[in-house]
Amino acid sequence: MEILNMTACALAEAIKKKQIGVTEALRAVQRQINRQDNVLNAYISQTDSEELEKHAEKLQQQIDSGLQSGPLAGVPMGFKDNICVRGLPTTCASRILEPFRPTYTATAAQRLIVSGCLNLGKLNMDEFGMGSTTETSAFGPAHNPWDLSRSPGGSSGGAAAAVASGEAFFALASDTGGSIRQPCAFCGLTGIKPTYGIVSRFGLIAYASSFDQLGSVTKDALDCAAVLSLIAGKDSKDATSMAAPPIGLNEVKSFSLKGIKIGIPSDGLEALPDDIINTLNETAKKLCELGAKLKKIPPIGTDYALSAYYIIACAQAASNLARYDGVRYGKRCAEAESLEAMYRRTRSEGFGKEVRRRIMLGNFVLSQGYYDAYYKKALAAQARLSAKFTSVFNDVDFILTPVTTSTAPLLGESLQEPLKMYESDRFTVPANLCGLPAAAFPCGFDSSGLPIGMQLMGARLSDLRLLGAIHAFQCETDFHTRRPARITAKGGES
Amino acid sequence: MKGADGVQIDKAMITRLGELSRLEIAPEEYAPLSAELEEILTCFDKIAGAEQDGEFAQRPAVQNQCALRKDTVSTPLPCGALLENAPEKQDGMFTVPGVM
Repeated sequence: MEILNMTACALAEAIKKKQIGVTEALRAVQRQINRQDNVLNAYISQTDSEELEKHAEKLQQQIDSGLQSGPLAGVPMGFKDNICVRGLPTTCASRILEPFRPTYTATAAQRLIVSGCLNLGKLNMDEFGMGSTTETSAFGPAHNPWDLSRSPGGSSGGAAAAVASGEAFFALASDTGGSIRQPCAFCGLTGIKPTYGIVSRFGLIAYASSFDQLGSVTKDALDCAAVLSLIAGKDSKDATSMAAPPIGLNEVKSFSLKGIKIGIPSDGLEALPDDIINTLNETAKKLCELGAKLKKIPPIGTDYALSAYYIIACAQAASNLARYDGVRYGKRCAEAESLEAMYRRTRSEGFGKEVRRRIMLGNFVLSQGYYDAYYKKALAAQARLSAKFTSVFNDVDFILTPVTTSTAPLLGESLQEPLKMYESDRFTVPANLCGLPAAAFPCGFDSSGLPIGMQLMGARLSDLRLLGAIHAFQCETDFHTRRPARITAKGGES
Repeated sequence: MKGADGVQIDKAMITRLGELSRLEIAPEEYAPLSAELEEILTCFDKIAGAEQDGEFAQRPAVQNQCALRKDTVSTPLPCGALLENAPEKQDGMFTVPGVM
């Protein structure tokens, strides 16, 4: 198999068996980046080549001598650009953080680096994670390798574009309302937003702290499990982190769907394109053939979930982004006449339109006179939704839904209609509101050949079983093995 | 257009939100911003139809046990590291435009 088509686990295994060298894998992926990233725009910044070569040689020695034996040792990968890596640019795709160089590394990133992963660079995203297409990035949009005129999704669009096109074997990314799952669905990949708390958020630049969670963008469920096995666990630097049940790859591999009960909710499916409904039905049928039992479940309240999500997320964003004032780090406007003017000009010059809009919405729902009408009601709706999911998961093991309401949109199509963009998150936000694990996996293609992804959600701490179920599905299907046509330097596909 | 409880996103409200958000709003931005925010808030109003009761209003949605660390003094980041990213600094301190 061509190196670039290999999964991260398969590559690590081949490196251990000395079938492929770490430097060989690194050079293959670097050639791919050099050949096509001027078109895809998946990376915002790249790690110095010489430094990577030296690191690859050192890793090879450690692997050969048995010092590095982890499931992803020697694998080149990328980090979404809201994850701090000491000394490397970490911009959140925003002008306001363009000069910022973190003085520490995120715990999850550190765990991957210590486990022998090679950091290729920082991946493009929507500014501060606020967007669904990467078009709000201050560094221009990333493109979908399946169709360059389309978005790879967002906010982790650069991560998905890179992994789908062979510019990284996997990526560490974040998911606040679907930012891992939606790009995975648009690019034919598998990605998980783990249970809130099992991965430390230390070093992840905050957007909406009670929803933000680090996870992985990968080619299949086994890669997801391998990444999670390395990054999960309690961290004294994040008070919301907790000890996670061990993620054993063998348990994921041996998971059987026999007798597993899968619920399909009755709401949210209205007005979806036929291709997506047909793929949902075909996926459910396949899961049944593999031994699962389907069960219709009551509406999960996608309407309220969407409103509650955006009210709470904007409120937390308004608070979290108040720290960008041009004093301690990041951009500062030139020659302000007063302190107050400096704050205002710095923030106005540094933030893009969508970020400004969400900060203002957040301040609105928190302001006197509107707090009870919006924010307080959103918190109650969130708690009610959480209770509803607890009750549903007493009856079923997993919930199956589409990830998105369409396949990848054309670039330029979504920005003018923010509400439409928000509404496209209807299937993904409930997991963030309730802290549940949810994973996206490829299940088909639409009539234009664009990938369609489905989502499996589980009860809290069911991450391993969730990935086991998807692995069982992927053992019997080949959607996760399909790759987009190779992209040429001029931007065409061959 | 009106949001919840008949709130109007008028010029005064945009000015107020700009102040709260510490953002400059250019005159030509007022009208489109007002229309966008009203449209979004009208959608948010769906939350008003959600069943409400005291039980759920008081309950945290994600019941994680927050781990408290020991109440002991730890070593903070050194001053040099804290100032590394400062846009402007002097004598080991952040500098800002005068406030007097």
